Amino acid sequence: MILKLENINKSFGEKQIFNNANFTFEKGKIYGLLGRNGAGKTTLFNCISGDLKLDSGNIYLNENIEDTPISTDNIGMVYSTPILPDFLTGYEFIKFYIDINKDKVDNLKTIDEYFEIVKLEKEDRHKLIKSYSHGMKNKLQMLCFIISKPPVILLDEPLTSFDVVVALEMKKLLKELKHDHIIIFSTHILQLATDLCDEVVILHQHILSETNQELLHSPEFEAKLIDILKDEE
Amino acid sequence: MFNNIKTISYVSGTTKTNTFFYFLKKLPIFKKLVSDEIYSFLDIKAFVSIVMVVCSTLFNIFIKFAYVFIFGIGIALTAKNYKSIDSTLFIFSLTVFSILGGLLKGSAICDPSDEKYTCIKLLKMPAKDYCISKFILSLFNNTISFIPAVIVLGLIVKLSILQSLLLSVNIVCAHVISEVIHMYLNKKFNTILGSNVPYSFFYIIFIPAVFLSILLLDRYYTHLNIIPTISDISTSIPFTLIMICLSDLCFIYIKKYNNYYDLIKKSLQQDEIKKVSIRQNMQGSNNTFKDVKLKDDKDLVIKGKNFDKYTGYQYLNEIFFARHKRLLIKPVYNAIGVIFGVTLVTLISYFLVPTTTPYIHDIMAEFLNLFSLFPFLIYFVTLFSSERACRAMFFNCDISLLSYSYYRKPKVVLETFKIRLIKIFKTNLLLCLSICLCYLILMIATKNVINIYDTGLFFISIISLGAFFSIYHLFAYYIFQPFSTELNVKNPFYSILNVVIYLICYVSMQLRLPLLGFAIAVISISIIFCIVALILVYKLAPKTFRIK
Repeated sequence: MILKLENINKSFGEKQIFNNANFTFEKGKIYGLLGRNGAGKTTLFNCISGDLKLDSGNIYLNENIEDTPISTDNIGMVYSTPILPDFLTGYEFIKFYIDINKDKVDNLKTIDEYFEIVKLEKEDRHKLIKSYSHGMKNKLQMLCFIISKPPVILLDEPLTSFDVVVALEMKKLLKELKHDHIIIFSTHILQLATDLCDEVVILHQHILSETNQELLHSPEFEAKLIDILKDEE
Repeated sequence: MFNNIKTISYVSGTTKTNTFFYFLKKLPIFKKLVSDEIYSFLDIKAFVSIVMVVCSTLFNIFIKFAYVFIFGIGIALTAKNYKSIDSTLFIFSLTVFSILGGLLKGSAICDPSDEKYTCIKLLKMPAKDYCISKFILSLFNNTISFIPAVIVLGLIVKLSILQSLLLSVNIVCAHVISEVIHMYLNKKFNTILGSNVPYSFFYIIFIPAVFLSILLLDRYYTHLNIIPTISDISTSIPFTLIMICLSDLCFIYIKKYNNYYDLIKKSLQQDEIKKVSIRQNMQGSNNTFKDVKLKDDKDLVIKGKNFDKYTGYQYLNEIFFARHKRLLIKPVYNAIGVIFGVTLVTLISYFLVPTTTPYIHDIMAEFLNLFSLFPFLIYFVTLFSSERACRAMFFNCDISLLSYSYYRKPKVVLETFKIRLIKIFKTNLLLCLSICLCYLILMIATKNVINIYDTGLFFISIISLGAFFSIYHLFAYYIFQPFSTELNVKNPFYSILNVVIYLICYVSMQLRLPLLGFAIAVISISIIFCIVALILVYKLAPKTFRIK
């Protein structure tokens, strides 16, 4: 399975974000998307998820042989601050989520079994989401992907406000999930990118480019990356 | 002082100018003509800024003319059943709505605003300087708008220029005194009255209530000359002198007062929170949504209901309404309780207090002529079950779920609309049926003749009103989706529509039209509106029901 961006263009007024950008993301890998503030990381996610229209170009998902335009059903998105309905309990939200995705889910587990996967404590499952901590809300969002298994998962600056324990749990979860999905996450934290990602994609000067695989784990990675990003137009 | 006023005007002018360019760029024709560089053309901006300040001053004058027209002439007209309008009623109406109302209304010093936040928090202007300058600006605006409006419109009702002048000076003075009243109450109760929901409700109900009660008293005790006396007093020179003296004292108080920062601290905090995007602060406090927040301890446990039989969106909405019972359904139950309570008290006095028997019999015989009171009554009660419900839907549910594509699918938008409409209508129907039932009980008990056609018409009209207000609020919510993620009301049409509906209900209450014509009008308007609204929702809501 691949996610293909083909000659995508997008600008807001006179500010160009993408200029004929191309990239192919593959299943089984976690991609870290790096770029300076305002480079267009969130815009890229919004374009992939269909929330924003491209000026031109195509985004395809190829699950077998054929390129098909990506549909919103194929995407799961996590916002930097999770957005969930406050008036439900975690348990009720997951029941609702399973209900509306029933036709897409195979090997349906019980709700409590799902909660076990993300290690959400028993006593918290029946509390209002309103009272959940940031980490608990994020676990709920992750759980949605575990249930509906969208081919592409986009994470907009996740893990930035987690404590170390939850961050580690989340990293483990993402690594377990990656085999069946294309996972792309944007971040500012270099260490996170090097820790978790199989590949780092740089959004700079309106295009997407891959970094050298060997460089990713080398000690000079940070210096090189800053060199690339500092390189003004 | 002059410099401070200049700074505030500059901030306000620049904000308005930038907002103007921002929205101009959104219009299709100007999109390409106006580039982002426009913000850097300081000369053009300075010019537009002056135009903006002049326009907003003129607009303020226009608003005051409209206000004096509606409250001085319009409402006084309806109170007299379209008979000739005289200056007494004009003065009386403005005395209640503008002098008494002005004493309790908002406050330029205390009420929160973006501009106040910018000047004090960001530009570090001393709070005292800001507050006093803002007060003087507001006094200036009130003076140049109220005085010409009352004098010009006073001519229509043949008011002498001296009387108009005295009346308008009293209105301006009332606004000055209001500042000190607000300063005192805000300090005492540690709140911001201008954005306090119960206070706003109190204000909206109290002022019309005073107006109506004096009208009623005047009608029954004509010999006391209540309204002419009030009118004479409020346009008398001694009264104006007292008002001017009080305003002078308020001036001195405002000038001498030193603790402005503490006084307005809270309004700055609230604005600070409002400025933080909702995505970072889901628990953000905002006045528009203050009354729809859930409480963990009160709302978590839902008694006596099993939700397992429901699935998907039905399940979601069943839980939504169950968990919002305290906020949305209980107020309607309370109103039903009051209706049955009034019925019971009436029955008891009918049977046990012989002196009231003939009165009650007569009132019931003429009861259907009171029909024009019901649109306002039902409007008011359904504010909880329908209008507040929409705000709760946004704040506690849709603001988050609309971020997900599955929730925005046209099929889902229409499905949730249908489920919600049925839930809201059921609650409102209960209210309408209770009114009908109590009417029947009273008619039978007081041995009045029940005219089957009139009664039928009354019942259908009441239920039509219930249907109208069920659909109206949900329709407006789905079509305009007026709330932004920053929790502000962004769509002006939504606010205008609400004011229009409020005014129609209020004015119709005053008109006392006969049942037949009014009921037929209510039923036909309701049916036509419901059909049009449903068609519009089915055609447009999948596109309009979005996060803005």
